[in-house]
Amino acid sequence: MSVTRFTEKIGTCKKAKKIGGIALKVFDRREALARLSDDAKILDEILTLFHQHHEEMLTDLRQAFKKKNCENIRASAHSIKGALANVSAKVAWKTATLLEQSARENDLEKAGQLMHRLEKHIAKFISVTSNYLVEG
Amino acid sequence: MRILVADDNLISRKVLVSSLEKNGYEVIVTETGEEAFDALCKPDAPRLAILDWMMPDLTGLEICKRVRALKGGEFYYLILLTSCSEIEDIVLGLKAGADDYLTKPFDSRELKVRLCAGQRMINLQQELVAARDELAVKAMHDPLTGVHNHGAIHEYLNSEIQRSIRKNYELSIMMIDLDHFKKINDTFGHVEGDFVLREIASRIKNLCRSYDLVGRYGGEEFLVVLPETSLANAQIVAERISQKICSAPVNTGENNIPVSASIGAARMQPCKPIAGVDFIKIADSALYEAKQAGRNCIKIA
Repeated sequence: MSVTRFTEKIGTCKKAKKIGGIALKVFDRREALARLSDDAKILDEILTLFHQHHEEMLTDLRQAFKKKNCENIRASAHSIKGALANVSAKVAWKTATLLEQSARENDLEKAGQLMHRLEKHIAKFISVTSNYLVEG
Repeated sequence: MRILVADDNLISRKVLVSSLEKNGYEVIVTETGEEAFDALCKPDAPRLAILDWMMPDLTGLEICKRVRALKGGEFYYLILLTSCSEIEDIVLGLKAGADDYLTKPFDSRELKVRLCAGQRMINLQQELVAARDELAVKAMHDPLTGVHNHGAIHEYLNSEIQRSIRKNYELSIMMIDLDHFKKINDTFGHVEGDFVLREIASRIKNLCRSYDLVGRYGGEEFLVVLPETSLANAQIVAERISQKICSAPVNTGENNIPVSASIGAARMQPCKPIAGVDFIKIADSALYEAKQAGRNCIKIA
C-alpha cells in the first residue's frame, strides 16, 4: 500500500478524549493536512517516521526517569511534544505538554504518572494509525 | 533561494524540509546548534535560517546572539522555531536577535508568507549594501578618470607616511602635470580633453604596482604615491611614465593628440618625517622646476 493511501484511509479520527475539560482527538488528520497545505504525501512520510522512531524517544524519556533527572525529563518530553504536535496526536501532545511542565517544576511524582499516561496515549495513536495500514 | 534549517528532532526536521523543498527552496540541513552556527559562519552561508529554539548543545536563541555578534556586516534573517508562544518567550527571542518566529507545529501557509517577508528584507539589505559600496567607491574616486580623487590621495598619503615611519622605509611621491593641457582643450574641445585625461590616467596606472596609489590631484595634475621606494627608484618609475605618456599620441577616435608631461618627484626618509601637505609642496616645487626647465622632463627634489 502506498504511503498516500495510508493517510487517505485513516481519515479524521472521530475518537476524542477530554483532557483538562477540552475534547481532543487521538489523531486529528484534518488539522494535520490543513497545516501541510493538504499534502497527504508529506503527512504519510512523517507518520511513518513517527512509527519508526517513537520508541527511541520514549526510551530517552524512560532513562531520564530512571536517573530522576528532571532537566533530561523536561528535554525528552519537549522533544516528544514537538514530534506529537507535527503528527497532530492531540491527546498525547497535551499529556507531553503537562509532563514537560511538571518536570520543569521538579514534580517527579506527577511527572511519573504523566509519563505512564503518555506511553498509553502514544500506544493508542500508533494503534489508530497502524490499523489503517493493516486494513490497507 | 537557500535556507539553513537547524532542528535536532527528526520529525520536525522532516516536516520543515519537505515544506521548504515543496516551495522550491534549497535546504541546508543541520541537526545541532553548533553545526548550524558553523554553517552560518561560512562565506557562502545561506542568508536565511530557521532555527529550532530548543536544541541540546546550542539553542536557537544562543545562535541568534552569536550571529548578531559576528563582525563583517553580513545580514542574516533568522527565524526562531518554537513551541514557546508566551509573550515573554517571544520578547526574549526577538531580543536575542531573531527577526521573526514561528510557533510549532507551524502551518505551511504561514511558513510561506513569513519566508516571503524574510526574502524581502534580505533583498532590501543587499540593495542597501550595494548602494553603500557604490557610494564609498564614488566618494574616493574621480568620476572622469576612475583613479583616486583629491581627498583619497591625502588620506592615503598620510597613512603611508605613518606606515613608512613605523616600518622604517622610504616613501616617494611624484606630481605629474600634463604640458599645455589648456591648449589641448582650446584646440580640440573639452570632450577631447577629457578623453586625453582618461587615457593618461590609464597609462600612468598601468605602469604602477598594485600597492602604489594613483590619484587625480587637480585639473590635469596627477599624484602618484610609491610606498617602500627610494628616490633613485622613483626616478626610474618617473622616466618610464614620462616615456609612456609621450610614446604615442592619444587617439580619441577623431584626433591624434600628442601629449607630454612634466614630473616632480620627492621622497621622505623615515628618520625625517614630514606632514603630507609639506611632502606634496616639495614635489610641487620639483614640478615647477621641471616646467621652468622647458617641460617634458623630470626634476627630483
